[in-house]
Amino acid sequence: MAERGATLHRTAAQRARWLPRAGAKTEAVVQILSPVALLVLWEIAARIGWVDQRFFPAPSAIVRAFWEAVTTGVLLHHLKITLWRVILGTLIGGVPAVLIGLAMGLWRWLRLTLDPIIAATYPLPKSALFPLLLLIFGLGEGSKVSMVAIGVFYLAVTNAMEGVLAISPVYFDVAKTFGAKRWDVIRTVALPGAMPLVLAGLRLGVGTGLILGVLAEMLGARDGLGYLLWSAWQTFSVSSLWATLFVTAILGFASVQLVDFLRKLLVPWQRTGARR
Amino acid sequence: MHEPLSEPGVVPAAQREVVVRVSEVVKHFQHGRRQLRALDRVSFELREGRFLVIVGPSGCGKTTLLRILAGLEHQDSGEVWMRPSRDGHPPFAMVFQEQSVFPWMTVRDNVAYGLKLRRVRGREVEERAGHWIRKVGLAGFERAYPHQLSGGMKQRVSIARAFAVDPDVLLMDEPFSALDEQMRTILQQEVSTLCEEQQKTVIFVTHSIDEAITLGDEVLVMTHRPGQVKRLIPIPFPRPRDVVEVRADPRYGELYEEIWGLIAEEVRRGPRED
Repeated sequence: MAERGATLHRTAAQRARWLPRAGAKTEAVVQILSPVALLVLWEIAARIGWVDQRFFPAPSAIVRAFWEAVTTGVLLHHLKITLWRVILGTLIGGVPAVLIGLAMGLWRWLRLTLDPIIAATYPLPKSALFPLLLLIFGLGEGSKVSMVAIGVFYLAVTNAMEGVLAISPVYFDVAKTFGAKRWDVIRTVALPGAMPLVLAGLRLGVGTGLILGVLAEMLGARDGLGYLLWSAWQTFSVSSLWATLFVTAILGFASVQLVDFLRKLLVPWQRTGARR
Repeated sequence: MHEPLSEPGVVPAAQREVVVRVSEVVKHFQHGRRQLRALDRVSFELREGRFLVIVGPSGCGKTTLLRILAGLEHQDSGEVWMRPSRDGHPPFAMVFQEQSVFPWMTVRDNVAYGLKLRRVRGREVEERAGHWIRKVGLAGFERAYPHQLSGGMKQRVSIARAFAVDPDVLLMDEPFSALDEQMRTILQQEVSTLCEEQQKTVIFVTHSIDEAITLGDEVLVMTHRPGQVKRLIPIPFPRPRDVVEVRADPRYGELYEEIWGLIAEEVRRGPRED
């Protein structure tokens, strides 16, 4: 009996044999090593011809193309243009979105009026709007920037609204019992309370804005990372295609990091562990 | 009426000024198509410095009554009067049942909240907030955010926030119901001592008979819905009190039995539909 009981629930030491937990340092090394290992495998596979070099050139070839594009200033030139469009679009789309979203959370009638309009237009693929935007703004900056702005707007507006609605009513009660006036309630409860979701919305919005911006550049621009990707495909320079993809990925990663930094600044009260 | 023993030099309770007066308060709630009567002609008076505990079966409207007193809900008829404060601000402060400490403010900013709304000067805000943080035993946690605190500590912040504005009346809505037994006893003692020391008039809602006898000068037992005043029972224990000693007093058992009898009758009967 006793022996059976022992096998039913293993002791911590017995369990540890099956699921070994290494120290934090070892775990970090593994996390760095796994992508490096993938790159090494890729390099070998490309050189001995296991993968088609036309589609998957060796990492060394991509690095060479990358370096060339950097030194000639081509990559940086296009990166700067895309970056500028994303920043401008995020501001143009995001600032009004947050303000409108917060106002919708605060005022029931505004919510009832605007929510159906937003809900009806939201499911439309934003990329489908690009021809219309080209028609309105022409081939200039306007069409690309507005594409980013639209991508940011929808996610930012709905999240800002939900941010206010998600605040527990007890906090509004507390403010009222202390004699808070309308503006005091907004300033001390609604705004800080909605901030976590406002930033979550911006984080998602920037990601979507970047996708739409690059897409717009592919379809109707003479510069920017999207244009560079498209022309790399057209000239079949696969290495530079990969190099540009890499830079685009870094841009996406950096913009999300920037929003996360903003979140740490504006929402210092959120559990730090909650970032998983 | 059975009055607690008064010490020499202390104004007997019966001669003190009335601070809260509730008369014939009626409140309905819309429940689907039906109107439910939550409160039915509730009346009572509370004199300065007295600690009133309201007990009753769940759903008897005791929290609704407290929310009407706090101005968070409005009665359909009847009158609620509270002696206005000298500075025109609400004469009361409320401690809520659930987690009500602002998660986006530090302990210090939470405690200073009411003072800032009252446009108290910066230096004085610091002093008074600091004083109450120390008073509830949270010195050293001024810059901590609520998620770093235990449930008991958060409720201390909530209590400090209410005391900091120095209200005449404290409204407390089951403030300890989410705490474990030990923490509850500790905080009961602290609140009892603070209210005695600061001469606060208190209306305290609970479903715990034990808490009612331990803390109250008077216990108002309510009927099942629609909530009416079933009986007002004076608690003879003098203050300041030791909340553990009180429980050992033979009269405690008698009071417990009496109040339990009244509430059990109501629970068995259930709500009366109108």
